Amino acid sequence: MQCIRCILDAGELILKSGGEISRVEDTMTRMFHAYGFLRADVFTITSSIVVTVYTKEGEILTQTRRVSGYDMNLERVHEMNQLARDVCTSPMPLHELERRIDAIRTSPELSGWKMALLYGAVAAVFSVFFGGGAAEAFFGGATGMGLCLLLQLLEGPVTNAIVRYALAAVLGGLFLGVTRKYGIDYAIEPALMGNIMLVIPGIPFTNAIRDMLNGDTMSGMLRMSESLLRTIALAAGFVGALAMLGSIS
Amino acid sequence: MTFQEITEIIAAGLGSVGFSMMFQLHGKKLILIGCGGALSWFIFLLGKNSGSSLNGLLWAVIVAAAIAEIEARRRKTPVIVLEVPLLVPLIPGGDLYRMMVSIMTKGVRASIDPLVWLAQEVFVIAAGVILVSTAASLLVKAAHAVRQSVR
Repeated sequence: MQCIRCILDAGELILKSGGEISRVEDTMTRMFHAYGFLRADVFTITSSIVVTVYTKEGEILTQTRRVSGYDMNLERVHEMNQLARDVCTSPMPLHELERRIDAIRTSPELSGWKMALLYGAVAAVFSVFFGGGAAEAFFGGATGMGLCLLLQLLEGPVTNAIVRYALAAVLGGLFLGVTRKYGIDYAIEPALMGNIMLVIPGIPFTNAIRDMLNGDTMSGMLRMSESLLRTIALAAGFVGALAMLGSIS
Repeated sequence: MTFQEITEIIAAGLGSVGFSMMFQLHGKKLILIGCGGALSWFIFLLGKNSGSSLNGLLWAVIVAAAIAEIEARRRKTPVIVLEVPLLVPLIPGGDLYRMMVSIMTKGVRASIDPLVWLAQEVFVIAAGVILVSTAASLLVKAAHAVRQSVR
């Protein structure tokens, strides 16, 4: 059914963009009720959405959606929230709903290079935040830019996100270690901390807390474990690379 | 307040704005997030300077989460949209690094102190978010109940 598919698309988009489990379930349930379904049972975990709806004609329909490939985009979460509000106020024709979901899904994002520049700027800011000066901000920023480009480059060949981040962290750590050892004399810690801040999984961690608070313990635990593993992989990658070069003692 | 602390506060605000842009946010939200991020770090520093980093961290998280809860309702946007970038400066990236260095250089057994410290910080952040979220939910329900009884 087109309606179930459209609302599943909406739920999937919220989940992939960084929304909490309760938000996905609540938004979908409200949208199903707005379109006249008598009852909607939505069950969501981080990688799957299952929905069973009861129609006025007495039919019971179930659909499942496998969710993979997250793309953190909080503006989409905001826009989907607005769309769900509009639907609940006055349900729009399904072709219009589909068009608006597609418009949110394909809304313009920062290009790869702009994102790399942003990564560099944020890493530089956090290098200063941790006590660095101009040199630390420069090398921290350069590493941040490199990390972003590397993560984009590795997205295809390395499908496991934790391995991808660990690999990028090792290369980032090696870059900092080599420039420190054979180049300019600067404090490596602020530059490194600035880059750790850059790639720490902030959204999954905050979502994990909120999911557990909302009673979605399983999803919360999954997200917490994922965040923890990624954080350890990142920190171990950065520090391990420096330890290999003998840059920390 | 030292020059380094003022730099940290400004960097915290800029960092929050930078993260918001990384998460594709734009518009007037960025000004709020920048000011909120700087304010939360200022509160953390106040707590730290008065002798307790964890106390400062808890109050900073409470303020950041409260700003997110209030403004999200006012702007009709999900709380998570504002809360994540506001909490960014409070993420213990520096202590995570120190803990990892300690594990790599001294081994796990000798690194219990930084490990426990980091766990405490993570626990305090989670507790602050849960506290504010629960309080906000109770307040909304109470206000709803009062409105119903007045009608």
